[in-house]
Amino acid sequence: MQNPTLKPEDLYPAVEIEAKRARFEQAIADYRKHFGDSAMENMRFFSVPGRTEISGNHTDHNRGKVLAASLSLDIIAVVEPIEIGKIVIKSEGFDENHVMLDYLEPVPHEKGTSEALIRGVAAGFVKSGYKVGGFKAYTTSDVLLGSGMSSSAAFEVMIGIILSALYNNGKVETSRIAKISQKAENDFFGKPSGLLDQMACATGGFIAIDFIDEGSPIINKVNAGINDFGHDLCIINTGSDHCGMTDEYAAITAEMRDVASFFGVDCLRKISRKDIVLNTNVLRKTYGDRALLRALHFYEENDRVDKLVHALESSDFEHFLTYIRQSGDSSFKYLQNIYSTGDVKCQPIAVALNAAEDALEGKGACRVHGGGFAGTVQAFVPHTMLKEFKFALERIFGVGSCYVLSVREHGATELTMDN
Amino acid sequence: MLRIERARTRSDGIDDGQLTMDDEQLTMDNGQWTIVESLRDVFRLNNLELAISLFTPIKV
Repeated sequence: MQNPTLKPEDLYPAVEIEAKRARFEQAIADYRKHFGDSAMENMRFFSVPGRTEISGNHTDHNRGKVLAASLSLDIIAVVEPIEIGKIVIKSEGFDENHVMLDYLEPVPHEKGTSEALIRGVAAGFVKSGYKVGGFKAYTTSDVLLGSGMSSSAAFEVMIGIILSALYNNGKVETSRIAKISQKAENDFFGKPSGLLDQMACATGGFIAIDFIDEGSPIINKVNAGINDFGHDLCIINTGSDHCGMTDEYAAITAEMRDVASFFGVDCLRKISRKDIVLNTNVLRKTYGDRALLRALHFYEENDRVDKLVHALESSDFEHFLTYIRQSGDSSFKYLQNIYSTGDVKCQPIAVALNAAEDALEGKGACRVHGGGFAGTVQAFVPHTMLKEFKFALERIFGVGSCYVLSVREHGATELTMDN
Repeated sequence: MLRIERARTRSDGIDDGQLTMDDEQLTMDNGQWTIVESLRDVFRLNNLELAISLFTPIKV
């Protein structure tokens, strides 16, 4: 299927269109400033959204289920093809990246860099039988770095959608681009991430993924839109970075897998909640209470993904909100990814959750967003309470810390701009 | 209607607890705040960040 090509007015809400056009005009000016003057007709334009995790908090690594949605925040690119086999990308606020396409194997010293992602995506295209070629690109992004909105996945998918459009007539399926991007992140960048982020950025809208088969996850697009239900989606940036929380995340994966190993399997999905409950005492003694509680969270959270999908598809938004609240409660009480035990004086996520619950007065819902311990909180806020909610949160975390977003129906896309 | 009450702090020497602004004085459009100029003058708030940090929403 052909990748989409949209007009800005088909992609962005009407109230934002003027600002979005101005953003592209600035990006074109910055492209010319960096790469030299270039005719508008030679330029191509692309947009890839960030994503939000709706539920399935820390379930993917034990082959669980997740529900995610693409966001109205995006990374945009102004692009020109070039005749030499080289990708040159200048991202706003960062140094220029260069990757020659004559060597497409992992480069050890590139691990953790944008070059690794670019090289990895190009390598994935070649291995999958697609064409690659050179281009120059200027990118700018409002997908927050280190906030659980998948800025790196959006960047990888951006490389893929550009290569598809420029050298493959736009015919590399977005799901294929997502898988190539994940492999680039795993094998070239050195981060063992799941497929959720790339898939949500690439395909758009709500997406449910079941990781029961690690090599071939089951992916379903969910037909729903929360904007129809009188609520806004808010992401509150607490100003604390989750980049230093790798050990905390690793402990969650390890403790869940430890419990699974008691039963001779490598992940919790291969056993049931009942197995855990019937062995509570021995599991407590062997692995500790926290590992037991984290395992119990896995099963309840996994079931909640199905319930949330059903609620969305049947337009039952009251139950949707109930399950979102339950997801947040379970993360706080059982998964325990709200603050680091290494620094109990620092609990920005808990402060944000308290302020959000107070402002919501029993309506809407809020929960920790993404990996947890730091970073962002997610809230579904009735339209009528938005101003008060935003004020209450920004009073604590600063003006601009509460992002009012919407779920974007379109994933990675090329854009046609009027000359 | 959103009413906002000054947080009880004396750290900047301004009287606490009594000053309010309402919907028309602090507006939010497309996620962006705007505070009326006259309010900035009254409270000597030349910084929106400071203005918001000093006030708290109250239930009406």
